[in-house]
Amino acid sequence: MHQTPHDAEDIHDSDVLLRRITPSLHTATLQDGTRVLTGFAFREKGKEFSAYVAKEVTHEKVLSCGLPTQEIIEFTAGEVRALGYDIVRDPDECDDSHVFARPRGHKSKGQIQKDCKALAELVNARTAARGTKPSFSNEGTQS
Amino acid sequence: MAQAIQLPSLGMARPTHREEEPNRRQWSPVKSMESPVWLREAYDRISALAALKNNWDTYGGLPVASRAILGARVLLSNLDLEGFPKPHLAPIPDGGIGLHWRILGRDLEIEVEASGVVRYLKTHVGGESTDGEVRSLQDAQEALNWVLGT
Repeated sequence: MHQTPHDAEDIHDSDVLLRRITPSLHTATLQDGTRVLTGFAFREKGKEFSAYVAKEVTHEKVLSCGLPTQEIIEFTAGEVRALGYDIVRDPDECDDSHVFARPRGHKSKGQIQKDCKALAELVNARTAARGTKPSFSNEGTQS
Repeated sequence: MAQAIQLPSLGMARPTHREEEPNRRQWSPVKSMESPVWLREAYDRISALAALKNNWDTYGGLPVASRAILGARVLLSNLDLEGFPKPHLAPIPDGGIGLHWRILGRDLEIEVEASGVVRYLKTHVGGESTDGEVRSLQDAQEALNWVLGT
């Protein structure tokens, strides 16, 4: 049950959101060996996807609610809002910092697919700009 | 209303066993001697995705639907994939299967939904995306060729 069906004003655009991914399923290895996040990493059944507010929870806590093979990706609330979503608080059994992104208006399946891809590319671009290997690059399982 | 793509059956995509040539039976699962090496790995990957249980993503993801499995196999069996790298195959939480290719600045996601409907998303990395429905094998091949820049 969603507690507050509106955008959480106390979550600022610059606030970081955390989401669990499964590297073997959500990252692809390119021909040059680079590993990139795919848009599938943000997909959930339905039209919403969820995350945790980083300033309110630790990576370890978020990971403890997932599977041993999972890792964390980071993006910001502002990036999600810019794509036309509200950040709605939705405390879950893992942590009170749980939120979900809800489209502000109607979005087709194709548009949601585009939005998920856009978010993945933002994560990839940030990783490339830092010149560091993403945390999921240590994952041994190949696609 | 989206409709499931009209793809030929998987059986039709494979060499047909002929009773008068029983010595060829051992080759029946092989699509072509020229098939990319990764194709068998891709089939194995699809089988692995088919074994995923409910909540595989810890966000309530559904198991991969049988129509999605069949659709992904049919696509891989019938498209001209010579020259393409191995696709990344991933489950979609609503029961579909996603196929992903990225070559240079071109990125393609083909999604076989649980219903059998197939969609594509073409993205110029760092730029615009276009999406649409794949209604035929030709549509899928054209999307793939776009990734190669041909």
